Amino acid sequence: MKPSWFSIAKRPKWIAVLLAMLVVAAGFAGLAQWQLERTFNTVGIAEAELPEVPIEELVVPAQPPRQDALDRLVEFEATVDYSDLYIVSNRKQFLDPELIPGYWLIANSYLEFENQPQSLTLALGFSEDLVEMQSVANSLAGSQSESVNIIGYLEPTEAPGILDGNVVSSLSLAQLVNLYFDEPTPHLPSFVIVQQGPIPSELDRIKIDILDERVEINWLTAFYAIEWIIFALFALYFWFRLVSDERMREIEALADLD
Amino acid sequence: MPKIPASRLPQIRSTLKLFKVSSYITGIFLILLMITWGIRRLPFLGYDLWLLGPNGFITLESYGFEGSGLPLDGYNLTVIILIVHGWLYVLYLFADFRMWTLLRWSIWRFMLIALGGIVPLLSFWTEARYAKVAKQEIEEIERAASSDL
Repeated sequence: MKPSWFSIAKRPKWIAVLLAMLVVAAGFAGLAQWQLERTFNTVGIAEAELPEVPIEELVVPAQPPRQDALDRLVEFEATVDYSDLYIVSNRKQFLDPELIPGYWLIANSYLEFENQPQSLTLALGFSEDLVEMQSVANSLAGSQSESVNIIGYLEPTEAPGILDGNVVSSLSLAQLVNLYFDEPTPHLPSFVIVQQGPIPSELDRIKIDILDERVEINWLTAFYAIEWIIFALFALYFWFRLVSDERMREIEALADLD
Repeated sequence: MPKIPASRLPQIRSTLKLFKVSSYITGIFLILLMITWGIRRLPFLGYDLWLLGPNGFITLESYGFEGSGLPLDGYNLTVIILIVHGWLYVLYLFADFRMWTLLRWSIWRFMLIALGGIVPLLSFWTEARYAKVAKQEIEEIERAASSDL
């Protein structure tokens, strides 16, 4: 009588082989899991959630801003110059999930950066209403300030816009330095959105949509993950094939006896 | 060993061709990979092979810490060789698997041939040895088929 496939598969030897193949398949599945973990990267939220660092660690004067420094929290001491106040239009306040259109109040500030005097533009606060913003700007104009501790997000400059009175349509540092200074004066390559510090009490703290998460897919590791899954399935197929071969051999041995 | 029907012969012959070609490709890419790995990781070196970068058509670029020294433009040949080898090795494994299935070889021979894509120069030896074995087996199948007539 021909031995059935199952009668061979359930012998201790072939069950041991099955267990060995399952271990191999589990190893391959583990590698697939590892590659999958590397496939989906959540980006965007990480930078903004890092703790604040001294501004000197992320900014180099007279150099283009570092990409990985943007949206990071920085800390420094600066004196706000309330004689250089401007209002920026086309701003969006992020009130999850809505974006409210409005205005920013910005001011120049002075700080000691690596023992050199530098200027740095600060975005102080948000208001939906231009009339309210103008009255805040008027009441603050020319007021004296002492050096204060500031924490805020480091942000990149924008393209120059249109100046109408004290309202600019974009936050361009190249444009602003020409409004602030008559003499050539250094300015740091980025500006800062103040989160803790001299935020006027009439204005809201600025919230921008930098906590936008997105998932990046690494296709290279995605394909490797698929590859390991196929290898794991093959490990099981090999067991099936080995048992089948054993059965063939036994059937042939029986045929030879006949 | 169970008899292999002569009707399988065309399939076996084309698989043998694939096995021989993929053995050479895998062997060559493995040597390329050892060389590029060496110039990246060996002491006093630390370069990646770079295609169409700022400094010429094919150049050596300083790898730096975890790739921090590499240029922004062009293509990293060191990484491309790694990826291409990875996929051509899968093709080689497939050829190995087909040979093993069609000629009903042992699992150990399958594994030894599979190692050819991991151990440098081994694939040249396995190709020389097992292509010869396969040819003999093909002849045996032919002989058995003609004696059956």
